[in-house]
Amino acid sequence: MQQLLQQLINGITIGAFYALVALGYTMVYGVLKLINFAHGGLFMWGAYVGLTGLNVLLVLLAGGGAVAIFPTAVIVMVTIAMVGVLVERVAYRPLRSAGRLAPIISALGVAFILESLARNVYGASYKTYPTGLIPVGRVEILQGVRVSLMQAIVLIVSFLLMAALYLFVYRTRIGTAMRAVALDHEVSRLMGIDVDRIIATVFLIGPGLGGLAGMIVALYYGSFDFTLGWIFGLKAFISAILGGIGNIPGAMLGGMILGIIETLGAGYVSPQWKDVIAYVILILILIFRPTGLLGERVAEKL
Amino acid sequence: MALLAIRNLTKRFGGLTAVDYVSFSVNEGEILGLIGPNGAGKTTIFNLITGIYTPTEGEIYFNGHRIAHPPLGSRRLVTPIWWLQWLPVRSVRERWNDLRILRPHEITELGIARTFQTIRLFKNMTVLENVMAGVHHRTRAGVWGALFRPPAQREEERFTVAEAEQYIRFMGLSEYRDELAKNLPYGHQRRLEIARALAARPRLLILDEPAAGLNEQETMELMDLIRQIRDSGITILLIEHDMKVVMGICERIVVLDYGKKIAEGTPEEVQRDPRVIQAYLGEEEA
Amino acid sequence: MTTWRPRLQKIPPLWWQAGLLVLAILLPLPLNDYYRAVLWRTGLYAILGLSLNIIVGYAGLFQLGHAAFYALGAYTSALLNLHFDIPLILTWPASILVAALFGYLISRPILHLRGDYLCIVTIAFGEVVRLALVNNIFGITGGANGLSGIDRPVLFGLVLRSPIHHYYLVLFFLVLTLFAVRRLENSRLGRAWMYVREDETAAEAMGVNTTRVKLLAFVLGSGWAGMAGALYVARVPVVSPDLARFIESVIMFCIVVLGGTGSIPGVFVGTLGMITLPEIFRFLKTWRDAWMGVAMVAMMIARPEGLWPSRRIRMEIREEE
Repeated sequence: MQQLLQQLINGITIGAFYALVALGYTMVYGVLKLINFAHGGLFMWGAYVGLTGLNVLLVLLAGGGAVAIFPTAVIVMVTIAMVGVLVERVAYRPLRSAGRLAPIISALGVAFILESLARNVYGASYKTYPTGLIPVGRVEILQGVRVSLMQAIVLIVSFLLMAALYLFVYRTRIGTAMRAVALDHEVSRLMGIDVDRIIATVFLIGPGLGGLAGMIVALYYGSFDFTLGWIFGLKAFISAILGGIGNIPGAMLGGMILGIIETLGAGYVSPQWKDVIAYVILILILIFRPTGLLGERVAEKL
Repeated sequence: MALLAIRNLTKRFGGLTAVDYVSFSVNEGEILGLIGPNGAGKTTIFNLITGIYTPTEGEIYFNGHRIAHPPLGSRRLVTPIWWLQWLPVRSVRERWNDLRILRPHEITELGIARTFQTIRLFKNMTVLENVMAGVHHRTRAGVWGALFRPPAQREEERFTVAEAEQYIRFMGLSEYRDELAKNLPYGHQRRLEIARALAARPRLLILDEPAAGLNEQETMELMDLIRQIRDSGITILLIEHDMKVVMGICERIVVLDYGKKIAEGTPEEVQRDPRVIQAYLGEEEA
Repeated sequence: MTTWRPRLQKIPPLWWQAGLLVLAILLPLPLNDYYRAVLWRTGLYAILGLSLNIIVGYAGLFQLGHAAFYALGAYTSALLNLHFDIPLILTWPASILVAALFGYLISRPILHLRGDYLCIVTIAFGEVVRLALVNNIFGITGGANGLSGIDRPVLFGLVLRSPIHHYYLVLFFLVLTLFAVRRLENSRLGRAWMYVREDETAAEAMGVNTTRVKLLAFVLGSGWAGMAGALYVARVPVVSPDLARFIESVIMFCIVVLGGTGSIPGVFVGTLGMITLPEIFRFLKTWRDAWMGVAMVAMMIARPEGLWPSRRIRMEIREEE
C-alpha cells in the first residue's frame, strides 16, 4: 500500500512533465491539425538552454544557488517560445495549404535540425545540471510515503501553469479566438480573427511551456542527452492523444494517466517493458476510443 | 411490393434527434421524393440506408434483407466477438450475420447505389476511372490477377472498361472520357456521379439533390435522364429542393420536418396538406 | 529544354527501361567497393521505398513504422539461419511471410483510423517491435546487441561476399519490385487503393471493401519490407534492434514523400536524396542530419508535391492552394 502510494506520487510527477509537453502538441494540433514533430526537439532545447543559462548565472551571481533558477526559467521560456514562433513562420506557414504530408515532412526536418544542432553544439555525451540547487529534503506525508521537495515544486509549478493556461484559453478573448481558429480557419477569418497571429500565439505558448518542461525535467533527473526530445516527445504526444487531441484538460489528464501507468508498470511488471506498456495503452485507446478520453465525437460531415 | 421498407427509423446524435420514428416504403419501379426544409433529416436517412450511419432505433429492409438495425448494446461490445463468424457452427454464423452491422460496400453489393449532396467524385482520376469504381464490386481480380495478368483478369479489365463506357455514353459524357473529374463543368460532375452510381448496377438508386446548382436547361435534361433510368427498371429515391423537379417526376412524396414524417402521398395530396404548407411557410418566415 | 523533350518522348518506353537497366548493370563496374556499397544501399532503400509507396502513396495510409517490418524480415532470416541452419536463400520466403503476417495482425485492428491517428499508432507499433527486440523477447533476439554469425548466402554454389554481388542481388529484386508495383498500380486493386485515397466514403459507397483493400496494401507493403530486411542480412551478417529505429521509418517515409507520393520515379528521387547524397556527404559527419533537415524543409516549401510527383498528386496539391 505504501509502495503503491509512493509510486502514485512519482507517477504524478512524471505525468506532470508529460502534461506540460503534451499541451504544446495538443494546442498546435488544435489549430493546424499537424503533429508537430519538432516539439520534442524544442523541449530538449529547453533543457540545454536551461543548462547554459544556469551555468552562466551561477558564475555571474557567484553561486546564487536556487535563486538562479527563476531568471533561467524565464530565459528558457522566452528563448524557446521565440524559436517556436520562428519554426512556425519558416517551416509551417508556407505549407498551410499544401496537403497533409508536406507539413509532416517539414516538421520531421525541423526535428532533425534541432536534434543535430544540439548534438553538435553540446556534444553527444550526457550533460549534468549543477547539483545542490534545490535541497534534497523530503516530507513524509504518510507512514513511509515521502514527497521530495523537488517533486513538490514540480507539481506546484506545473499545476499553476496548467491552471493559468486553462483560464487563458477558456476565459480570455485570445483564448476564445484560438478555439475558434481550431474549429475553422475560414470562418474565423471572416469573423475578423487574425488567424496568422493566433497561430503564432499558439507557437509562443506551446513551445514556451515545452521548453520550461525541458528545463524542469533536466533539473529533476539531473542529467540528459540529445535523444531526450524523441522519447519524451513521443510519450507526451501519446498523453495528448490519450486525453483527446486538441483538448487542453485532456492533455493534462492524459499526461497524468500515462505517468502513473508507466510508473506502476515499471514498479510491478518490469522497468524494461514500461515503454512498451505506454505504447500498448496508446494503441488500445486508439482502437477502442479514437477520440481519446475527453475528446468529443466528431461526426464527419457528408 | 416494397423494395425498401423503413420502420420506425430513429437516429440521435447526442441530444439531437435527427430522424424521429420515420416509417415509409419505396415500391419497386417508382420514383419517390423525400422533401422537407433544411435540417429535416433527409440526408441522415440516406446515410442510414447506405450504412454510413447506424440507426439508434428502427430497421431498414431492402429486398427482404435487413440492411440496418441498431447495434447490439454498443458496437464496442460486439467488436470483440467478430471471430465467432469463423466458428464452424452454422447457427452461430447465422446468428452473427443477423447481429452484425452491414458495411456500406455490402449494402451496395445488395443493390443500392447513391450520389452525394456535396459532389464526392474521385477528383484527380479520369471520368473513365471514376465510373469504373462502380464496376468494382462486380469484378473479382485480386493480387494474383494484378501481378500475373491471367486471361481471366484481362477479360475482366476489358469488361470493366466496356461497362464504364456504356454508362458514360448513357449520361452523355463520352467526350470527357479521359478528362480528370474535377475539370468537368459542375453540371457534368453531377451527371458523372450518377453514371458512377449506375455502373454499380443498383436496383435502387438514391439521389441526394441531383438538381442542386443546375440551370434550367440542365435540370430539364436531368429530369429526362431520371425518367429514363426508372424506365430501365431501377427504382429511384431522391431528395430535392427544386419543387419543379419533385412535383414533375415523383410519383409519391414523403415530407419530413424536424426529423418526423409529416405527410406522404402523391404530389397533389402533399401540396394540399396543411402541415406541409405550415412547415414550408414556417421556414420562409424564419 | 523544349526542343529535346518531344524527341525524347518518342523513344518507346521499353527502350527507356532497357537503357536504364543496362546503365544500372554497368554503373558499379568502374566504382570502388565503397561506392558499390553505396549503390547497394540505394537499391535496398528503393525497394523499401517502393514497398512503403504501396501503403502511403497508393492507398494514402500514413505508415510511420515501416522499419519494424524491415527488422522483422531481417530477424526472421537471421534466426532461421542461426537456429536451424537453413541456407539464407531458403529463409527469404519466411521473411516475407512473417513480415506480411505481422503487417496483417497489426493493421487489422487500426484500419478504421484516419490520417494522423493511424500515423501515431504505426509509430507506436514500430517502437513496440524495437523494444521487444531490445528486451530480448522469448530470449531469442539477442537483446540490444542483436544477432551475429549469420552465414553468407550461397547462390548456385557462389558465395555472395563482395559488394558487387550484393549490388546485383538487390538490383534483381529491385527490377522484380518495379515490375510488380507497376502491375499493381494499373489493376483493379490499384484503382481501389486510389479510390480509397481520394475519397474513402465515396469508395465505400461504390462497393469497394475499403477494409480489405487497405489491409492488402499493408500486407503487401509489409511483406515486401520483410524481403528487404532479408536482403540486408544477406550482406550484413549482423542484425540489431537499430534496424527498427524510428529514424529508419522516418527516412523511408521521407523517401516516399520527398520524391512525390504515389510516383515510382519519385521513390528513386527520394532514395537519392535521403540515402545516396547523405552517403556522399559523409564528410559533414554529425552535421549531416542538420543539413538533411534543412533540405527537407526547403524541399517541401519549394515543391510540396515532391520532386517527381505522379500526375495526379501534383494536381491534388496544387488545387488546394
